[in-house]
Amino acid sequence: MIPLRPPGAAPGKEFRRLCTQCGQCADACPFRSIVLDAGFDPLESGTPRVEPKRIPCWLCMRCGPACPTGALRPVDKRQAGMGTAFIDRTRCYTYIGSVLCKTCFEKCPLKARAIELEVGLYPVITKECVGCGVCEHVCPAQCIDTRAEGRSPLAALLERIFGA
Amino acid sequence: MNPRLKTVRRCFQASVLLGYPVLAWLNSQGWERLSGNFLSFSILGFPLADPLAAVQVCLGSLALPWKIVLGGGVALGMAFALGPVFCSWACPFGTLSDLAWSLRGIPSSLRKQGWRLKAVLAALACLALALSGLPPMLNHFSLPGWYSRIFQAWFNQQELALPGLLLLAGALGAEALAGRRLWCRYVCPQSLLLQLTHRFSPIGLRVRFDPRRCTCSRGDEQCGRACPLDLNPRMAGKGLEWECNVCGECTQACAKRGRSLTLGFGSGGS
Repeated sequence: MIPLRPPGAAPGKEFRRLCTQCGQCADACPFRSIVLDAGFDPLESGTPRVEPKRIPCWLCMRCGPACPTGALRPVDKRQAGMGTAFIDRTRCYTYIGSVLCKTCFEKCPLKARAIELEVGLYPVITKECVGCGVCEHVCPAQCIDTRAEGRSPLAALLERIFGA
Repeated sequence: MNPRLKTVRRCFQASVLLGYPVLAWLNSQGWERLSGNFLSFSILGFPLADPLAAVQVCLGSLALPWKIVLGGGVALGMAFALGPVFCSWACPFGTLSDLAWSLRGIPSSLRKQGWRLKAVLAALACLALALSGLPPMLNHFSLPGWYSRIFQAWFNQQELALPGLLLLAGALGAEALAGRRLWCRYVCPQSLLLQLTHRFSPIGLRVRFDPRRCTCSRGDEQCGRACPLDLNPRMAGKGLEWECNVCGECTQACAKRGRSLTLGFGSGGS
């Protein structure tokens, strides 16, 4: 799985070339949302990622300016381009009809843009979603999954091996 | 007879060292004709054991589990007949230790070639990474990098940067066994660019050697003994510059003798 990069990350292959594993983005993040990989994979080691279940990204956009190489770029939060959230409608409280819940809608940093309420009730992720993972973090049903933008598992694997 | 014995022994040691990981992998795949580890092993069901492990089990449980008793007995029987040949023929740590010690006696000419090899490999790796679009992975060879990453990972996300810890421990361990600055000389690719810049600097700080003032006799070179990189400071000006990192230890040692080694800026020339 391609990890969720911090906001403003260069596209896959370019990010890998540029990130020098210095961790200044993680130091700049006031929420400790950015985790530096401490594992053994030499392609991933030392690079930053966001794990929304743990701490999501609130799109404060302080990491972009901290990056010395342009692996992360200072962009507007609407161009953060981290990924997209997916709602599992078989588990969402509103969709299955157990409780009227719109926590994701209320907490979304791009409120009413990235998540809309269909007929005023059902949360729907729009194309404006940047994948910050706040909805995944706050969802009481834990039915939201944030994935790095539009990649099938096979495409993700190929990208890992050959670059974007 | 003797050299041949050594060859056979080395081959046996190497096969144990390299064979065990293969065996462990085979065991994990369900092949169990040879299984266990160096504490207790089974060869087609026939036991072999570390006698000390057997003694501990027997005393601790006040029982005599026949397999481990027999296994330990076989090992002791072998020692009874041949001596502790396990240590010289099979023990994988003994093999690694032999290997580390053999690095100690590397003559200086080979050491220089080792450094050159490192320089060529680092240049090729840099080029290959650039062409393939892979990340700047030479960074993983930066021990100062890992040193700082360990603390970042710990204080920011309460995580142990295990690869860095292992690398630092391994590098230090190897140096403790095999001599100083092994990593710096043969692995560290980060120093190469610094050395390159220094080599071609017309103003850089350098060690200078004035042979006319040298008073040390052959075999009594205080300067060489002082050098952390095992260089010969009396080669200053003749191809020493590449590796010398101008710590100044040799000049200090020489200050008590003939003061033929000094630090000075510029390309020198006496």
